[in-house]
Parts: sequence; structure tokens; C-alpha cells
Amino acid sequence: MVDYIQIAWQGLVSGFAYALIGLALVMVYKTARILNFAAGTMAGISGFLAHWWAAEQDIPFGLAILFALIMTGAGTYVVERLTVRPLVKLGDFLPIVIMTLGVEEFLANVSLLWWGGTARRYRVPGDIDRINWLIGDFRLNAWHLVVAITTFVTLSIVGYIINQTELGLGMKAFAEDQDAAKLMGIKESTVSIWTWVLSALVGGVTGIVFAPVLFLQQDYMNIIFIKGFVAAILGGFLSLSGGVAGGLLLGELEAFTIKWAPREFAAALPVVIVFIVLLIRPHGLFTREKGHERV
Amino acid sequence: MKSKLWKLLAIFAVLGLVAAGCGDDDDSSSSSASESSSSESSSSESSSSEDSSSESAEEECELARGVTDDKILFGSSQPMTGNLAALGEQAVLAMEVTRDRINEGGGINGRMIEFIVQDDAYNPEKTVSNAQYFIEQENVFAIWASIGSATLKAALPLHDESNTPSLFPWAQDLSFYDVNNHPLFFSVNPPAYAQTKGFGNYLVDNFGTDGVKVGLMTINSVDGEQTVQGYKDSTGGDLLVDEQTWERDSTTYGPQILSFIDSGVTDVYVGTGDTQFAQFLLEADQLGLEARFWGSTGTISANTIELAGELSEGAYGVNVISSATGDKPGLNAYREAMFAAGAEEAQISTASLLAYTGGLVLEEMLTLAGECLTVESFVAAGETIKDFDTGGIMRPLNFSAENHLGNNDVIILQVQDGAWEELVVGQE
Amino acid sequence: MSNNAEIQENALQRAGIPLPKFLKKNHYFGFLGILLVYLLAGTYSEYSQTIMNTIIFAIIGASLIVVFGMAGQLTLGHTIFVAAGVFLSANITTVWSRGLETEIPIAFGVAFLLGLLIGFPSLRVNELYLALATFAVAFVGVQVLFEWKQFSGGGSGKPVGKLELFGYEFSRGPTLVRIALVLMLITFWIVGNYQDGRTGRAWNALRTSETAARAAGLPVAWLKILCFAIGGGLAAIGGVLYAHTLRFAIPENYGVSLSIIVVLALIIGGKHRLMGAVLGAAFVKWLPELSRDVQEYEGLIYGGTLIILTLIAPDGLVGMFEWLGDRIKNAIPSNKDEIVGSTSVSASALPLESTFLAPLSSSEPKGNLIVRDAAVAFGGVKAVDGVSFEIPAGGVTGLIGSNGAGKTTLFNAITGHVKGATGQFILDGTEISQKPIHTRALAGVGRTFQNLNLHDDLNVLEHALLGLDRNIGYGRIAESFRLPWVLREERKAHYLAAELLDHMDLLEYWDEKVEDLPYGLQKRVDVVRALAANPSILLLDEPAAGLPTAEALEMMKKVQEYATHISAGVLIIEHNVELVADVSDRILVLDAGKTIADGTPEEVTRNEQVIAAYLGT
Repeated sequence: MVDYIQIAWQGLVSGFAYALIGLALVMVYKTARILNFAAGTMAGISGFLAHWWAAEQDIPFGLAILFALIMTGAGTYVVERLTVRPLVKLGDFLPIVIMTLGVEEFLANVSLLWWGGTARRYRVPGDIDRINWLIGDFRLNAWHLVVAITTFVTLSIVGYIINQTELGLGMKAFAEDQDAAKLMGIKESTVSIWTWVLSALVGGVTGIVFAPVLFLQQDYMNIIFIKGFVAAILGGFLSLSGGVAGGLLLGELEAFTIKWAPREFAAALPVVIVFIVLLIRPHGLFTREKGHERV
Repeated sequence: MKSKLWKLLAIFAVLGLVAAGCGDDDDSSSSSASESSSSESSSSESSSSEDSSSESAEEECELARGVTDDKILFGSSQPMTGNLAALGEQAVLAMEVTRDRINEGGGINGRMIEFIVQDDAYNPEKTVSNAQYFIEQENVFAIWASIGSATLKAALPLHDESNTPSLFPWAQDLSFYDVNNHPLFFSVNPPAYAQTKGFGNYLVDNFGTDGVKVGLMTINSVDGEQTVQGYKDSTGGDLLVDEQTWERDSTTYGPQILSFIDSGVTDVYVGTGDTQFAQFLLEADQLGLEARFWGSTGTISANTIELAGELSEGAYGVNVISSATGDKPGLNAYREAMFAAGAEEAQISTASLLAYTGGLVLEEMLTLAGECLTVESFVAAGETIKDFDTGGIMRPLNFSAENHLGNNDVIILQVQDGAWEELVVGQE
Repeated sequence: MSNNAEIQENALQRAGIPLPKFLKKNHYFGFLGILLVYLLAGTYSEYSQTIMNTIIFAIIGASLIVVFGMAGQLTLGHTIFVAAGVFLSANITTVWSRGLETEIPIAFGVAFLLGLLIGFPSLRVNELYLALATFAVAFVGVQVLFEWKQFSGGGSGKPVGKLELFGYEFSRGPTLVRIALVLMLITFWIVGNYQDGRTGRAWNALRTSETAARAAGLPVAWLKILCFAIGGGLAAIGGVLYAHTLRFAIPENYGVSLSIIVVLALIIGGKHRLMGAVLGAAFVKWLPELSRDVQEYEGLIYGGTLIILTLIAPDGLVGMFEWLGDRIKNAIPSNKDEIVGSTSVSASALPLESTFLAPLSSSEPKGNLIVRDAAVAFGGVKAVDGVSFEIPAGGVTGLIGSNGAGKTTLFNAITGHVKGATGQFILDGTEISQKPIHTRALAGVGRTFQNLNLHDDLNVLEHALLGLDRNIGYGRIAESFRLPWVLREERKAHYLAAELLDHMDLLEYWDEKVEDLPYGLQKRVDVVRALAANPSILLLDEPAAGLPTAEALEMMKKVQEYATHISAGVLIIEHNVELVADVSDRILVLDAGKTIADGTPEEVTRNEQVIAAYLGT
């Protein structure tokens, strides 16, 4: 019995990563219909920055994270103004996706030139990532608890912004109907830029909080990004909570299929299940089909 | 009417081209014939110059491609980007150290060593394309220090066909060592098969068979199956109770670890790189897997200990080479040179040490081959090397006409007091 | 026969429409380009690997044009077909010891069948979700390869055997490049033939408006599956070549990242043109080759170039070159005459003895539509609430009512464009209730749309050709190789389309992209598309909306003329009651989903209920 709880918890921890990245992706997609392929690399760079401030510039742990997030946000602001803005007018989403792929390649090279290929350890105060508590037969790693708390806090903050602030209102309006929102006087460029920044910050938090778990190395957030993408689609790319739920679901799915499925199918099974879900619910689990097509 | 004329012209053009294309076939086959005849003539010349060894050769010596009177050029295809970028960096650093040592000593027979590196991001398509670049555009003498079995496997036919030696890679596929198929391949890195076989034997010798249960975790790739087979063929083969695989894009080994816990394993062999091994140790601790952990060659580096911290204490390693942090003349010299070249602690590792050691043998081969450096004289020189001393990095190396693998050693190590210590050298 | 051919050719020439040909200008340029590379292959043999990779990826790009460029299916799993080709090649050359003559047909065949299977998800999911579904397919496919050790050699992979053709062995290097070029020529030619043929038009139609494509009677589901099958088969040919270049087949190479690269290359190059496949492949393969000296910064260069390209060439490199070409063309003063459509083909030249459209003089009036108890409910709202009526064959019937009365919904119930409609619908004795849209279209239901649903990127002539699709008499295999009767049928179809355009005064705009036309003309194109299908009953949804009355009347007159000519019935929704009264024999009035009047225009306009509900005083 405890075995299942252990597996479920492991799956949940991975799921937090997928959920956060999924959230970041859906946020940008809902508002601007753009799939940000650079999200993984950006999250990774946030992690590297936090480490750089702490380990090489001797800034205290918490402050280093703050600086890293500020730099992430600022960098995203600049990138959005320079590259995304001019393309948005065209309306076709494909060029923008290619553009994010270009940004990803660019940033990956910058990261490699700056930090090299060697993996580094991201040290946390008191080395609490190495502390494991025993609760009966259940083993809880201290840092995993931190991850859980961070995820919860991040989701709450994002939820607050979406539902209680003007920015959030603008984001929701744009998600519904871009033209109508513009006609209502909501400035598209403002909503767009802050959506991107918020998304990058969520990604940055993910990159930093998972750095002790995955080690800081080139491309360390890439796989998380792909799984976050899968999770977001599982949840239905148009629902923020759907993206989150999709992430948690995917984490659990992975954990349990490797436990039970024969070795040969273990890697493929989660993906197959996602595929089948899509066939049954073509718009993802948590998105309602948008009415009827007007003919 | 006009359109019909165009069609006719087009058809004639196509026919003419097909004929021309077939014609060119003869050209290319005749040029390869002339290549082989020139290499024949150079080998006959080199044997005659060996007869009159002390006298300066009066006959002309046709030097190999990539060799001039003052330079020998090598090519190296490395993963410089992607998640194996660390390995590429380390190998290149070791190659630079080798080159500088040789050149500062005046070169070999008056020739300086030079090498070009190209990134393949561990993608065999790029490795092949790089090979063509090295051979046909840059005209290198040999390909040196490649990383990866999958990548080398793709490029090897091209190397062989163009008479290009493949030297001292970090690659472990059994097929490479067949001298009949690959006469230009030289290595000091025993096959993965031999490594797990040695591990299996060591395990039985030192821990017996009572209550011992073994789990293997290998990658689903070229070497993975040979690794498993090697273990099964050892004396401990029957003790295998759980086989797991991992993907390059895994983010966690939790499921595999939980399976090992379920199977009650006492020993786990982890066939990964150093970062993955460190993560494995961390997660094993989190999940409560109590066992002896045996890392493969790639896991044995200072960085493993750096990343895993205290959790690495007591972990075992199965290597083909001494620990890079050990205390032996050869190792000390290696580290001195690496640090002088600007290496970080983390780059003192199997990848760089292996390339460095290969470099030592390379230097010897080039020296023995003499003034008239051709592929034949080079290979022949290599095959004469016996009892080559690497200052303790490996046991004395021996090559022959049937054996281009100078080192078949398996070395068992353990992390003690924050450093890798050798337990046994030369485990069979 | 030849008499007809001459009439058709002359007419098309006078209209300024190029005749469908076996080879076009593009073919010659393409052929010359390939010829050039063929001849230079020996000289630049040290680049043969990169050249091979470019050719292979160009072939894969061309196959992707079929799936993505034409049919618009965003697939991230395309390389599963390449992998199939690679491993089949490895097995055939080593285990069976056969050469290309076996590898290519088998690779194509197996991939074709695989594509039929993989095409199925596209019937359920769209766009982004299809991307994920295909991603899943690619991912699982690689896992299957890993486990199917006999076929793939497992993780270790399999070597590829000799390069031979009918027992004659070839060396690699320039010869392989030449063989690849020949295969490239063939695959490009085949894809080009689709672009110029009815299947290409159909794919483009389903990409730009699936709704309208169904209404035109195109078998959308089959077309989707087919595009995966054909695209997959062609990609597998690229796979065979790839196997011989790499000489070793390893499963882990064929995962999702390769699929992404392949799609990226095509988008960069330009996804609608074969040239785009070449440019895209060249970009992806030559940039690394040319930046070997500064490889450290390759990511910066590659990424930076991608960013810049998307900013300046959002339609791909091809789009950029075309734009440049247009600027140059416009700058050069041309002495081309304005295409004058009005002179050449006059309505009176309608071939009454046409072998194509049914002989008209003796045709029976069509379009007898019986509707019984039609009902459509959206949630709790009853949009159409038990409507019954009968429209006599060959007549014009008007359908009026206030906004929200349920007129368009009733249309949608008749054509099949709304789910959950109940009731019985019988057209000329054939029951069409519960049938899918395209089946009803093929049974004779034609319609226009309130919001047009035209096909961006297609020109006016192509819209007419879409409507004619079902009567164009050649199969898809013939189309691949552009066999002689394909040209005949294309010419015939072009001629008939031209006639229809001329009748509707659209001939001079035959080459315009519909998105460039003014609204009034666009409405006419919508009608032309419907008429070209030779419907039994034509449902017009507010054809005069947004048009000045004179223009509307003019168009209605033409529609009536043509409908009479093909003896079809017409059912027209309109708000302009005068217009409706003018053209209709009878008028139906709907209010809140129910019929409240059904009679002659005079009767209806004097009906008190109608006046109260709709007409006002």
C-alpha cells in the first residue's frame, strides 16, 4: 500500500515540473496563439543564472534567485519586443513558432559558450536536498516538499493575477476573442508582453527549483519542456488549469506505467495513453469544444 | 508542336546524362585503382627503406595523406553540443594537451601535430558528414578520439574505404575489434562486454553467491545489449534478477529504482554517464534502495563525487583505466598538464584520461613509424608495440597483428574518502 | 473528339488561360537545375555527403508538401516513414540481398499502408492536437523499432548492404548522388502532378475550408488518409537513400527531433512550392557545412538566421524570392494586353452537344426537395421546430424570415452541416437524411455560404474546377504520372470552368486569388463553385447580402439563367423581399423555427401573420 503512495508521490513531483511548464506554455498560447519552443532553454538559463549569482558572485541564495528571475523577465521583455511583436501582425502562427525555435537555438549556444558542458551541482542552504525523512514506510525528500510548496505558491500567484487583476482580465479577454478585446480598448501589446514575462517567470521558477534535482547541465530542462508540451495538450491547450492537471496526470501516468507495464512498453505507454485520450476527446480533457462552427 | 520538340530534347538529354553518368563510374573506379597502386608502391618503398634503415632513403617516400614534412593533421568528431557536450570538451582538452606536449618537444621526426574538431552533437549523420569533411576537404591523416559507438559505427566504413586510421576512440562495440574487418582501428578501450564480464567475475570472487542478487541498468543503444550479455557470460550470470533500461531523455530513475527494491537486489550495475550516476545515487537514497552500486566507465570522474556529495561514498566503479584522480606517475603528469591547460576539476575524468592515454600510444606509433610516415608504416609500427608503459594509467599495453586493442584490463574502484581508489587492476 | 479538343483549346487560348500541359516552365527549370547538380556531382565529390543529405531532405520535404503544404495536416511524426524506408532498405539489402529495384517499391508500398493507418487520427483531431497525435505516433514508432530486434537490430542497429540495381553494383560518392537526383526528379514530378491535378486542388480546398470542401462533394476523410499514405510512401523513398548514405540504421536517430527538423525545413523554405522543399533542405544542411570554421557559434548563426528569416520572409524563402520576382516584374513595363474575357467565349457558345454536362435540352427538371418534420435543437433552444414543405423540381423558392428565425439552420439541416438534425429529407426521390455532407453533395445538393468559406490561395478558376471535381474522369494513379487522358480531362474541365466563369462575368478575373477580390465578386465565386457541381438543387444563403441592389439583381438573373440551363431547382434565403419576390415562384416564411406561410409571392406578401412578424407595415 505504501509502495503505491511512494510511486504516486514520485509521479507527483515529476508532475509538478510538467504542470508548471505546461502552465507557462498554455499561458502564452491562450493569449497569443503562440507555441513557445524556447521555454525549456529559457527555464534552464534561469537556473544557471541563479547558480551563477550564488556560486560565482557570492550573493545569498534567495537574493540570487531574485536576481535571476529579474534578469529572466527583463530578457524576455527585450526578446518579445524585438522578435515576437513584429510577427504578431501577420496572424499566421507558423512563422512565430519557427522564430521561437530560432531563439531556442540561439540561447542554447549562448548558454554553452557561457557555462560549458560540465554538469554542476546547485547547492541549497543546509543541503536539504539530501535530507530524507522517514514517515513509517514512506520516504519524503525535503527538497521535494519545497518543490511542492513552490508549485502551490506559484499556481496561487498566477491564479490571483489571472482572476483578480486587470492584466489577468486582459489575458482572458484576448484568449476569448482577440478582435473583440482590441475593440474594447485593451492594449494588445501590453497584455502580450506581460503574458510572456509571466510565462518566463513561471518557467524560471521551475528551472531553479528543479536544478538541485536534475543538476545544471546543458539542455537540462529540454525534456521537461517536451513533457510539459504533451501535458498541456492532454489538458487541452486552452485551459490553464487543464494544463496543470495534464502535467500532474502525465507524471502519475509515467510513474505507474513503468511500475506495471512490461519493460518493452514502459517508455511508450504514457504516450500511447495520451494518444488514445486525444482520439476520444480531440480537444483535450478539460477544454470544452467551442460551440458550433458558424457556417 | 513546340511542346513536342521540348519533350524530345528532354528525353535525349536524360539519355545522354545517364550514359555520361555510367561513364563517370569508370572514372571513379579507375581513380581508386590508381590510389591503391600508389599505396602499393609506397609500401614497397617503405619496406625497402626499412632494409636500408640507417642510411637516408634514396628512393622517394610517398607520404600518407595528411602528412607533410612539417605537419601531421588529424580530425576529430566530437559531441560539442547537446547533452554530451561535457565529454566532447574533456576529450578536446586532452587532445590539446597531447598536441602541445608533442610539439613543444620538437614534434615527431620534425613534424608538428595538428588537429581539427567538428561537432556532431552525437548524431551519426553528422559524424559521417564530418568524416567526409575531414578526409576529402581537409585531407587528414587519421581520425582521432571519437566519442560514441553509434556515431563511430556509422563513419567507420568511410574511414576504412579511404584508408584512414580510426584511433583511440571512446567506443566499445565488439565489431570494432575485428582486425580483419577493421585493420586500421586502434584502441585502448576494451569492449563493454568485457567490462561487465569482469565485474561479474569480481563480484563472485569477493562477495560470493549466497544471497547476492544483481540488477543491471543499461541504455537502450548500441552497447547496451553487449553490456548485458557480458554480465550474463560471467560467473555471476545466474545472479541476475532484474534488468532495467534507461532512455537518454529520462528525467528520473525512480521507477527503475523501485523495481530494484522490489526485486531485492544487493548489487546494481549502472551503465550511465557521471551525471546520471550521481542522480541515481541521490534517488536511490531518497527511495531507500540499499545495495552496492557499481558504476560503469562513464561514471568514474571527480564530478560524480562533486555532484553526489556524501552519497557517493562507498560506491564502486568498473573502469577500463585508472581513476583520473589517482596517485601514479602517469596520472600525476596527466593532471599537471590538464590543469596547466586550464581544466576544471570536473574535467578530470575518464573521457579526458582515455583520450590522453590514447595520445601517448599515438605518439609512440608515430615515432616508431619513422620518417616515411605512411598508413602502412604507421599500422605496422603500432603492431610492434609491446609492454608499453603508461606510467600506471593502464597496465603495460601490447599490440600485435591480430590485436589492435592494447588494453583488456578491467579495473575495479571504489569511492573512499571522497576520491576514487583502485581495488583491483586487471580483473578478467 | 478532336473537334471538341480544338474548340476547347481555342476558347481557352482566347480567354488567356494556359492549357493544361504535360510539362510546364517550372518543370524545365527544375530539370535544368537537377541537371546542373548531376553534372557537377563529380567535381564536388568531397561535398557528396552534404549534397546527398540535401537531396534526401528535399525529397522528404516534397513528401511533406503533400501532407502539410497541400492538405494542411500538421504532422510531427513524418519521420516514421523515413525510418520505415531506412530499415526496409537495411533488411532487403542484407537479408534478401536485393537492390534498389526491390527496395524502392517495397519501401513505398509499406509506407503507403502505414500512412493509411496513421492518417486515421487526422479524422478526429485537428491542428495542434494532430501535431501531438503524430508526435505520439513517432515516439511510439521509435520504441517499437527498438523492441522489434529482428527487424531493426535493436539498439545496436543494422548495417545497410550494397548499393545495387538489378544486380549491377554502384560505388558510393558521385554515383549515389546521381541516383538520388533521378529519384528526386521522379518524386518532385509526381508531387508536381498532384499540385496540377484534381487531388492537389482537393487537398488545397480541404486545407483552406473543410466545410466548403465537403459541400462541394469532396471525400474529405479519404483525402486526409490518402495524403498521409502518399506523403508517407514518398518519404520512405527518401529513407532508402538515407540508408545508403549512412550505411547503418539505428532506431534512436528517427525520433521526434528529426520530425521537427523536417517540418522546420519545409516551413523555412516555403511549404507550398517544391522549390521550398529544396531551399529548406539546403538551408538546414548547408548552414552547418558552411559554418564549420565558426562552429562554436553555429547555434547563434543558425538561430539568428531563423529569427531573421521569419521576420523578413514569413512565407518562407520561396515567398521572399517570389516577392522579389514580382517587384522586378512590375518594374518592367509590359506589353501584355489586359485579359479581356468579355469578347472571347460568349454564353451563346454553350456547347449544347457537350459530352460533359448532361445533355440539357432534353433534361428533366431536378430539385424536387421534400422536407418532413425537420428539427434542430441547440441545447434547449429549438432553432428549427418541425418544418415541413415540398419544393417542386426546377422551380425557384424563396425562404424569408427575421434574424434568428432558423433559415440558415434549416439549410444546414438539409446539407448536413449541422449535427443532431432530425426529420426526413428526400431529394428527387432519394433519401438523404442522416447522410454525411459530401454524400448529400454528390446526390445533388449544392450550396453557398453566408460567410463565403472561399479558399484562400486558390484562384477563381480553381474554385470552379473544385465544383467540377466529381465529373473529372481520371484516377489518382493516372494523376501521379500525368497520363494522356489526364490532360484531356483537365482541358475539358478548364474549358467548362471557363464557360461558367464567362457566364457569371468572372472570366477576366480567372487568375486572381480570391482573397484579393472585392466582396461582390467573391460572392459570385461562391456561387460559381456551387454551380459547377451541376447540382439538382442549389441552396443560396443570402446571395445579395452586402451588395448594391443593381449588382444583386444582375447576379440573381445570371444564376437563374444557369439554373434553368441545367434544370436545377433553387432555394434562396434573402432579406431583400423585393428581390425574392422578383425571382421566386414560391416563398416560404419562417418564424421562430416554424413555417408561418407558404405560397406565391403575392399571397405571402399580403399574409397578415407574415406582415406582423417580419415585413412591418
